[in-house]
Order: sequence, then C-alpha cells, then structure tokens
Amino acid sequence: MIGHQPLVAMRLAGRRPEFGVSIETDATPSAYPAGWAEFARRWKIAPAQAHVHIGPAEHVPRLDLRFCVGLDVRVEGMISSRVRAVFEVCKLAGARRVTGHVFIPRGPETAELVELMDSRGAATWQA
Amino acid sequence: MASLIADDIDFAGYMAQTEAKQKVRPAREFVDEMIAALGQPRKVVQAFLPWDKTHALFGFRPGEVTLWAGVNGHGKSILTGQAVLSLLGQDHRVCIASFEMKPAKTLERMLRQYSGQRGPNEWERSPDVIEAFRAVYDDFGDFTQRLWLYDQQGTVSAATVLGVTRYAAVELGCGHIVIDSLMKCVKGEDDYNGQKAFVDEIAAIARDLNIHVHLVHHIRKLGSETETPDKNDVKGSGSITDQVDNLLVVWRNKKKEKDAAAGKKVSPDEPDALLICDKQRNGEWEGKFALWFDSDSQQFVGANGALALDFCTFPHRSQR
Repeated sequence: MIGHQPLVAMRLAGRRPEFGVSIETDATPSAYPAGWAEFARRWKIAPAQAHVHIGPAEHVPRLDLRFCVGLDVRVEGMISSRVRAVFEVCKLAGARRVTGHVFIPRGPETAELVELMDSRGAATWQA
Repeated sequence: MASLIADDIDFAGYMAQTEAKQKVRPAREFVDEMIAALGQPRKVVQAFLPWDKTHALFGFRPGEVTLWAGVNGHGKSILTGQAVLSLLGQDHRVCIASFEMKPAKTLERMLRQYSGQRGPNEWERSPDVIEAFRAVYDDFGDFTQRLWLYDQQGTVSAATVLGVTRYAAVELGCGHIVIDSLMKCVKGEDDYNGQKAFVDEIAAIARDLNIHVHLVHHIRKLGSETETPDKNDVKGSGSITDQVDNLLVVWRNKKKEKDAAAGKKVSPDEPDALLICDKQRNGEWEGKFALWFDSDSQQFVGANGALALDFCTFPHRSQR
C-alpha cells in the first residue's frame, strides 16, 4: 500500500483532505508512482483528495485502513470481489461514507462502470 | 477552493484506541494470506551485485535500505562505485549523493573501472592515444545517461538529503540512491537520536517510493588487521543496523597487502577483500563473498586472476 502514510501524518497533525480519500485496487496506480502527496508537493497545491494504492498482491483483510475514519472514501478497481473486500474493510474502519466503483476497460482510454456500491445504499447498482 | 480542512475527529486518539485491535490478529488471517499468495507470480524488480556468484544469494529489492559499512580506507567507495556501474548496466537509474568526494573525482574513478584501465600517462599522449581515450570517454558518457550526482561536499542537513532522495526518485525516476555517508547527514557520531531518526526517514522513503537506498557508513577500527568486522562493529547507534534491511560489510585484507609489500610469500588464492553480508531481511542467505582487486581497473573481481568486468552487458562478462 502506498500513499497512506502522508494521510496519516496529515490527520495526526489535525488536518484532512476536504474530499476524503480515493483508494485504487488495481495493479498500477494511475497517479504519480510516489502518490498524491508528492504530486501536491510538486505543484505546491493543497490536496483536496488523498490517493492510496493497494497492490494486487496485498492481502486486504490485514490492511490497516484506519486512515479512513470519518472520511468519504471512494474505492475503485476492475475486480468486483477485490473492490468489495476493500469497501467492507473501509466500512469497518469507520469511514463516513464508502462508495465502490467497478470498471471494465473498453478501449485504450475508456472504461465502463459496471457496478456501484454505497455504504448508505443510495447509489448501489450493478449493470 | 477545495483544500485541506481541519479534522473533526481526534485521529491520534482514535489510532491509539484501536491500535491493539488492529495489530493483534488471528493466525488464520496470516495463513489465508499465505494461501492467497500460492501460485501468484512474484514480480520483483531486483537488482544485483556485479559478480555472478552473488546473484543467487543476494539482491537489492525495491523498498529496502542497504547499509554499506567498512573501516576507513577499506574500499567502500570503490565497491559502491563498482556496484553503481553494475546497476547502470542492469538498466537501473541511479543518483549518487557523495558528501565525501566531488562528482568529478567520483566519475573519474568510475571511468577507470568502466574502461578497465588508467588514463593516458604524460609520455603516452600521442594524438592516436588521445583519440582512443576520447572514444572510451564518449562511450562512458552514453553509459552514464541514467546516472545523476548531487554536487555537495561536507556536512548537509538531514532534511536536505531526504529532499534530494525524494527528488531523485520522483522527478528523475531513480530506483537506486547512494548516500555517502550517513555521518555527513547527522550532527556527529554521538548523535544517536539523529542517526535513528535519519535512518527511519530514509527507510520510510524507500518503502513509500519503492526505491532502494544504499547508505554508506563507517565501522570502528578493529583490534587487529586479521579481525573481520560484523554488525556489532558498526559505528553509532545500534538502531542503524536494526532499521536497515541489508548490511554489507567491506573488509580489506591489509595483512596480505603488507606481507606482499614486505616480499613475503602470499597465497594468490587468499582474497584481497571480503564483502560480508551480515543481514538480509528478505533473503535467506548471509555469508561472505571473497573478492580480488585488479589495480589497473580499480575493480574487485570475483576470482583470483579474473579479468575486469564489462558493465555494458549483464550478467557482466570479462573485458577482453
């Protein structure tokens, strides 16, 4: 898992990103290899959303996702069972609201949303 | 504008309160993790030491820190320079932050290791010889396109070194950062808290950015020249060796050198140096690699009488 440590440090210092955290569960992180904190440092911006990447070989039940507590969390990936597993751990960790987004690639830069999960039940949907 | 806002949760309190629940886990979860890993391909971009005989036993893994330790004058910089050439030959991008040697001097020594020969002497500087060396220098220039050097001598602040490490990893895409040496990044040999904090930060950066940091450090002077050092001889805080993932100790066989200089008979099979792996957190092997010094190339080679290595190929073949 990468990207969580700056978020933990930020929250220990009493600050949090306004739009919570986005968690990617696919093989390659879409943002900077170093993650959102480096991106924010480079562009001298205050990050509105933290980005955490969970590698494909990481065992989800053992991950420490307590950084989610009280935050809006968006979990996304291409494997429904893996997105669901992270979604459940985030709920257990006390996230304010968790949404799960499952995509299937449909072209070089196109992906189709095929499943939506919502801890509040409002947006739960499956194609 | 969207930005950081004040947290409405006592996060530190929450972390403390839930720490035990999070960290004390049933054994079954670990077994499940082992089962899930069964049959999964292990894709680890590993880097190796220059010598073939080490490849199956030791590797530089991403996310780790290797401590290169040795007594002053035992060849730490020569060996790390050779290791960097090997990493470049393995297609890795490398940044050297040496606070003990100027970049030009570092490169000069690496050029000699790369070319396998010393530069032209005064009496050899005919146009043909100069032209031949120019071609070698050009090749070296191409070969080192994936190498960066931080131009700073003397003591620097830990924060600056950490910043340089991040910059090299994120902006330059370097997978290997060499910091020579730890003592130049802290207040002194007795600054144990500073050493601990620095190594802790470096280890966190290596892990977060998935890079390998090579940290050069000193070993205290030993009682006798035949005594080989181990992790207990590393200078400074004991937490340094605890926190790093790998420990490579460089030891030069000074007794052999002195005996040879005094005209005594020495066995050529006796190594000129040992590279002692005294810790490898994620590998099974610990032990000693025997090395022999080739003075023309300033390279250490893996066998008595072996030729200098050609870094343009990997595994490295001998130069002809």
